[in-house]
Amino acid sequence: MSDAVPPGLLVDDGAHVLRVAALQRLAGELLGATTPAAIGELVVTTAADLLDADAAMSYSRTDEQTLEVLHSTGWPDEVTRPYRRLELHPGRPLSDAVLTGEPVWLESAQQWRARYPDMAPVGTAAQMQASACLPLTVDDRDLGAVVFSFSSPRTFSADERRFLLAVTALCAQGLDRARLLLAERAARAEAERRLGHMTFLSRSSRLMEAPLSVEQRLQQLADLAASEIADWCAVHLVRGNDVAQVAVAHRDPAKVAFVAQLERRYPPDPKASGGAIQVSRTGESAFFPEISDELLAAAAVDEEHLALIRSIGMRSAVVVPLSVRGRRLGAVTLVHAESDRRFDANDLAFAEQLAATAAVALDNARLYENQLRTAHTLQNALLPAALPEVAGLRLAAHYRTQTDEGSDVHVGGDLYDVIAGPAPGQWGFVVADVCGKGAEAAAVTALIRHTVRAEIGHGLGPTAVLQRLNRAMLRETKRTSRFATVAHGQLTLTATGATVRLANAGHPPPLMLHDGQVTPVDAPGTLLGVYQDVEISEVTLELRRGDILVLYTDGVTEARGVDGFYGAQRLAQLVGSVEHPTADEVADRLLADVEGFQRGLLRDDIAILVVEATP
Amino acid sequence: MTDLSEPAEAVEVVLTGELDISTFDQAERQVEEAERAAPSLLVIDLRALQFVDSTGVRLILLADQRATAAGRRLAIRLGEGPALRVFAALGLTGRFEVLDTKPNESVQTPKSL
Repeated sequence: MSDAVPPGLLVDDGAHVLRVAALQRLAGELLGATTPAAIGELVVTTAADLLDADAAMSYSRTDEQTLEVLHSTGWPDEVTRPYRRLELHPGRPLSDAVLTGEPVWLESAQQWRARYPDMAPVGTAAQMQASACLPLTVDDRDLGAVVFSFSSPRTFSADERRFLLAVTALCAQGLDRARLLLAERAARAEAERRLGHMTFLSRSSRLMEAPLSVEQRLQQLADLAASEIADWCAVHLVRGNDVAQVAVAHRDPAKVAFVAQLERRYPPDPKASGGAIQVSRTGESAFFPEISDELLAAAAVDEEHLALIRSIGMRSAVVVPLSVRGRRLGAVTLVHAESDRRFDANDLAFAEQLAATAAVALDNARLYENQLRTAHTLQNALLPAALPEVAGLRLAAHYRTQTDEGSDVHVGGDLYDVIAGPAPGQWGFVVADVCGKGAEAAAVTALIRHTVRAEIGHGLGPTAVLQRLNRAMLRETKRTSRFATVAHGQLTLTATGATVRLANAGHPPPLMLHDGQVTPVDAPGTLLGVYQDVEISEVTLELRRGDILVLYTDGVTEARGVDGFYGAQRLAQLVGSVEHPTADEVADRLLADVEGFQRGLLRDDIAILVVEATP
Repeated sequence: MTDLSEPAEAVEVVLTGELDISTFDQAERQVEEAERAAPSLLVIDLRALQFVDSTGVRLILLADQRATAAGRRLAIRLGEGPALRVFAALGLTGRFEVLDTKPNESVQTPKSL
């Protein structure tokens, strides 16, 4: 030995060198151990070897009150079994070590009996004599404890004590690192789960905003759920006194068909607790983390039914209510089957969140559908149910409302009508466009329709009808500036066709088609509903057999597409280009062309009325 | 878009883009903002509009009603594009005071009130 070696190390230097090497080895091995269990095993095996301990156990502290065994060596099972999990209890050696943070050294069976009489029979079982109980701590964190036992009395020298404390300090650090790693992994898994859920929620919300019927949306939602968060998804809706299944989804369509058939044969029991029907009614979630065979047997009607539902292989299910503002709309059912996954409390919470989001969207969609229905009802009241059959004339009409944008529901302000005149062979027709949309515009549209009908019945000519209409509108629409453009014609059937008197109040000029030639019927006039004095011009035309008169609203000529405006010129060309024109043919071709021009997205209402003198 | 380049007694509003039912509210806010200064003459310039339908007419009719009620004067610029086409088609060109000078030229002093 050289003089440079510190004197302390000269004492028992062989053991000392061994211990330093062992500590280094342990430190290296601890770096490779990433779980608390692996570290617990290292601490007991390595240290027990080095100390010649006959038995050792390492514990992890799971909460304030509890230790749980990480690894045990040397003890017979029957001795350790009651102590795999233990409550901390002052006055017991291991608890004292943990609670005080100080090691407890028991060098012989006598010391055991003297200091811990209650525990001595356990501590000295299997002929053990001495024990060292050591806390595992890092900074202020109590991570657990380790106990080494020896089958002969043992004096723990200061050196041995230091070594043992060094070993436990290393292990405590390893344990601390492993716990942090576990916590970090759990946090990352939780973050990923949340991210997955958020992505799913945002995708499902987008689905619910799609321009589809309520049923279509729910089917898409079910499809999405069955491809991402469950094996099966079903949606039920409350319909009056019933609860109906409106969507069911699984990746395999054959399975969907199988269940549909099964449910036709064995309709679900509406009183089944936790079933979709009950959840729809109660608004309370049902959670089946583990679906046992007993549960299936209890739900089955007979043996065959049981065999069929067993074949679905349901393992776990959640049924969550679709409810909004206290109203119960239905339920969403998620089932895990062949994937052998299970739903946990987190999944239940997520499913409830998903259903709540869907319920709000569903409620909005229903409100919207109701509004739309009301709008259509109102619109239909403003238009003739069918054009009259008139001998000597062929009539055709089309009407399209502006494409709905977002949640706006429009009642169009366009109008067309054909009315029998005061004498046989006399007919009136009208096309009008009220500025604006909505209920106010609809009221004006109704006013126009009824005024024109009434005044024609009184036998007034077209200009007089429009003058009367102007006054009626001024009375009714003061200060709202709800004005209208109106083209109104009155025709009398003749031997050669019909004579038409046409009056125009600011409306786009009707087109006359005669022998393939298209002529605008120009009759400038002032719009109605704003001024007391209106200039209305009237022209008279002869409609020969086969001649066609086309009336329309500015939704046609002002239509905007990628090529700019539709315009009067394209309109005239289209009307002139129809081969073998008839009223129907011209009306159909014109509508198709204008819709196509706008790629089906109408920015304004369109009304078209075509009057043909039958050839 | 509101052009306040005119002297205090005359305020000019220049509307741009498309004026239809979807932009009506925005355009009306622009006009109402100009009206808050209670100018003796309010000019609404429709010449820069790429599109205008009967909604534009309604905007002017409402502004005209308010001007009449407040004893103010309203004038419009129609140019030769879409605005003129719509006002002519609806038989309205004779119903308003139409100024068709360039936007930055000064507006004539009112002939009468």
